[in-house]
Formats: sequence, structure tokens, C-alpha cells
Amino acid sequence: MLNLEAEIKSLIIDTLCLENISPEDIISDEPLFGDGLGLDSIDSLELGLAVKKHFKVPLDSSSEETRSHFASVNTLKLFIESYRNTQ
Amino acid sequence: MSKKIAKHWSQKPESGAYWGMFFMLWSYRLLGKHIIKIFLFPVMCYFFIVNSSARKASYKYLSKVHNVTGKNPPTIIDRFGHFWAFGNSLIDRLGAWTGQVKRSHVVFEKRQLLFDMIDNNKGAVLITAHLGNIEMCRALAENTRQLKINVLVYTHHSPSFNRLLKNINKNESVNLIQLTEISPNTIELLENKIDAGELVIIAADRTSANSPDRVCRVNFLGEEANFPQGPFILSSLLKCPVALLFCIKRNGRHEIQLEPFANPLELPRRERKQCIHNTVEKFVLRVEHYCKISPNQWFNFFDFWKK
Repeated sequence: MLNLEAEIKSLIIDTLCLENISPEDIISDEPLFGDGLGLDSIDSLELGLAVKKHFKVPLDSSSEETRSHFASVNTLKLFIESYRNTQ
Repeated sequence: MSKKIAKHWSQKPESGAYWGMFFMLWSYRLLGKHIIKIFLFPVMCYFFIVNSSARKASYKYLSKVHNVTGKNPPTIIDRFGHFWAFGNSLIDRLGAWTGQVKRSHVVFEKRQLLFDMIDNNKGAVLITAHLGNIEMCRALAENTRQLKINVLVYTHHSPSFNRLLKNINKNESVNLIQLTEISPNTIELLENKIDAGELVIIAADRTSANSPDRVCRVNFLGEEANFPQGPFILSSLLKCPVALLFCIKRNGRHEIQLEPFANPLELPRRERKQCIHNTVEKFVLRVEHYCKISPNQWFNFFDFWKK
């Protein structure tokens, strides 16, 4: 099974067509939005949709909570893992 | 950069707007729409004289419309007429909010098109502009079979204003969604609404201060201007019918113009840049069409062609 962290990174790159960025360039504990990777709110729309479809996780919590799940690759990984554990 | 942001339309202070609107609303309730118009005249004269940036922006816009339609340059009467139309639209808005706009005030010829669009119980995205008075569509929701409307708004612009709106908005068929709260679950939220047969309305003429790079420069009335990509990307992600919606006041009546746009709107990743550009161009052509018909209904009083 593919490492979840790597899977998230390649999903980000594929979904947003990030040219010239390889999975190694995305630092797992750096913010995805704003300062770190520099994604914007439109990216967040697309990424949310892709994560929901790819990992089959529901995004039914509040906007604020969802945003905190999507803060970095690490938080996203924790979110997906904890959802899987409840299943 | 900071200079650019400082002059963005969303940064304009709205101090006093809350109390101004509060006062207007109660005057409207107490005096009615005809008497309030007597007060509107000096108020709009005052703004016309004092607000030079709005006056200049209006002049620039009117000159372009007159130019492309082959008319003489705008006179002082044309220019005040633009402000007057805006003042009147505020009063119409008060009427819409307080539920006093009835179906008979609104002409909606393509009503059937809307029903056909949402016939299989799937909703639609309606893309609009600050052209005319979209508030009049409230009358549509109020008078139409259980139609629910969601309007995406930039509320960081005017939180107090929207608070006021919420207080008076007893009509639960219109729901305001804050665009400043965009998050990874926004599409999920909107998808649920579309799946429930609801409408999602979004304006696509003002760029977002948060994503200054997500714009297309498109010819509008003879000169290139920035239009946002966000509303079109959002529409494409929802994979539902997309139509254009404008509500323009002509000869004292509100005409709802609904035009099919795409079903669904597709922006394939590979040719995305070109696709978005073409889509925005297609939208702007229609906006331009209505600007030419009703020049006074354009309600963007800031330098629209600013680079």
C-alpha cells in the first residue's frame, strides 16, 4: 500500500497541476495555504473535492474545522487516518 | 502591492452605511416609496458632488458605453442619471427586502426556462453581475413554488450591513453564503444545495482581494478589464446547469433576464487557461450587451479598468 503521506502529496500536485513541483518539495508540516505551498481559496475548493473523492472522507464539519484539517499534509493525514479508524 | 490592495473595491470603508441603511429602511416602512424618493434626490445630489472617485468612475464607464454605442459623450444629466438610477436601486432593494415587491412588478419572460433547468430536481448556478438589481429575484423566490436561493456574497465588505439584512430578512427562501468563508468543504456544501434543487447565485464581475492573480483580462466596452476566474471555476466544479441572470430596470419595471450558459461548464485541466478565458469572454459579451441597452444599470462605482 502506498504511503498515505506520499499519496496526499501526489494528489495535491495532480489535482492542482502544480508544475515544477515534486512530492519532495512539499514539506509535510508546512502550511498548504498562504505562506507555505502558497495555495489560494480556489485551490482549496478543488483540493477539498479531490480529497473527498480520492480518500472517500466526508467533509461535513464546519468550515473552520475543515480548514484546520487541510492546514498541512500532516493534518490532512491525521484527518484521513482518524476517519479510517472510525470505520 | 499594498497600494493596489488599498484601492481594491472591497477595501472601501462602509462606515455609516449601517446606520444610513437602518434609517432608510425605517423611513421606507413609515413613509413609503414615493415620499422617500423626495429625500433621495438631495442625498444623491450630495453624493454626486462629494464622491469624486465614484463620479470619475461613472464618467469613465459612461464614456465607454456612449463610445461603443455611437452616442455623444455623456452630459451632466447622463452622469447624474447614473447616480439617480443607483439611488433608486437602493430603494427598490428596500422594497425587495421588506417583501413589498410583488410578482406583478417583475417581468420574467423566460420563467419556463428556469423550471426546465431545475426540472429533474437538480439545481443550477446562476452567474450574475452588479448590473441591475439582483435583489428583485427575491420576488421570484417568494412567488415561486418552494424555490430556494443561495447568494454567495463577500461579506467582509459589510458585516454590519448583512447583519441588518439578516434581521429584516424573514424570508427563509434566500440564504446568504459568505465567500470569505471559503474552505475545502465549500463545494460539498454547495453540491448538497444543488442536489436539493436549490439555486446558487454568484456575481462574476468583481475580482477578489484574496486572489489577485486569478483574473482574466478581457475586453469590456473597448478596453481590457480584470474579471475573476473564481466564479467560473466554482461553477465547473459543481457540474450542474449554469445560466446567466440579470435583473434590469427598464421603463419602471424589473426585467429578469435568464440565459442558458453551459450545462455543465467544463474547464478541462489541460487547456484550462484558454478555456477560462473563453468562458469569461462569453460572459463579458453578455454583460456588455445589457450595458448597451441600459447603461444606467451598471452599479460598479470604482475604476473598473484599473490594471
